[in-house]
Amino acid sequence: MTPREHDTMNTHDDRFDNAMRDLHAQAVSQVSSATRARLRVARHAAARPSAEREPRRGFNWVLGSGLAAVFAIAIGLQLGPSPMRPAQTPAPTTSTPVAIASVDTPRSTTAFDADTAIAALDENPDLYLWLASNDDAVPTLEP
Amino acid sequence: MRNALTSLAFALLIASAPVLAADPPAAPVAPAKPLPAWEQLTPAQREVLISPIRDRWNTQPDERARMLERAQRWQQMTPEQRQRARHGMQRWESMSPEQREQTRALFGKMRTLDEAQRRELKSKWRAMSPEERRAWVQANPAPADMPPGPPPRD
Repeated sequence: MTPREHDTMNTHDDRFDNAMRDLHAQAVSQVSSATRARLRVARHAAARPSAEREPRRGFNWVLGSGLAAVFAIAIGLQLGPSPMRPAQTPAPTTSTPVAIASVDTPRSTTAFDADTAIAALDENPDLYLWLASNDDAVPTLEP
Repeated sequence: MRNALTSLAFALLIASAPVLAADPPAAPVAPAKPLPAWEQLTPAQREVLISPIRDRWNTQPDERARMLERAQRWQQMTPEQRQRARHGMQRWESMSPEQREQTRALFGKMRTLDEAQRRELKSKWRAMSPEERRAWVQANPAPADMPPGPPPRD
């Protein structure tokens, strides 16, 4: 592997890591405080000596599975396609050499953003054309 | 395959022209030197431009036909239509998933109506409350596939 290839791979890895961290932070922020409290309980329980938590193993297992499911759903909702564009939102790929906005970073309008550019192929261009002429007909932005 | 990707790349470049031509990023940029035509670009430059499409093409085989169809439609548009479509695309980008769903449903329905019916629906739509719009979309969901074609004029 050449040094340049190595650098490129590191850049891709860093980008992927950052995107995953952002995704995780966003998923955590969407978990309710009640669920987070249960997670803390589960974490403390898991940190206790095994002899102490032995009697509650069954309960902890269920709790842990439930929390794992909650996180999976939260992350799935984040990663999943929008209701209106099933299977059309691209999964982030580490081989894309152009800048990809992180999950919670507002898109820059001044740099080449692959997601924005690819949006040209996400929808029927005639829908975009119609939308431009019917801007007033579609719902206004709600807070 | 290569032709398809090239076609997609050109369509993407056409559609994303404002993005590419927008203000330069914060980093200092060398004095503007016009970039050459596609044929004169270096392999590395072509790679940067084409790789997002290739990734999409390779990772979503079920979408290939639609992608190609849409790319061809972008190419068929007049420059004025493309400009308007880009404006619509920017509007689309700022919409929430629910707003997009409503817009797709409305657009899909409009395509099936004649001019008088479209006017009527448009007027009715404007008068609807958010709840009524949601109910209307539930009753008139957007078709799963909306191939490009002449859009309704109003």
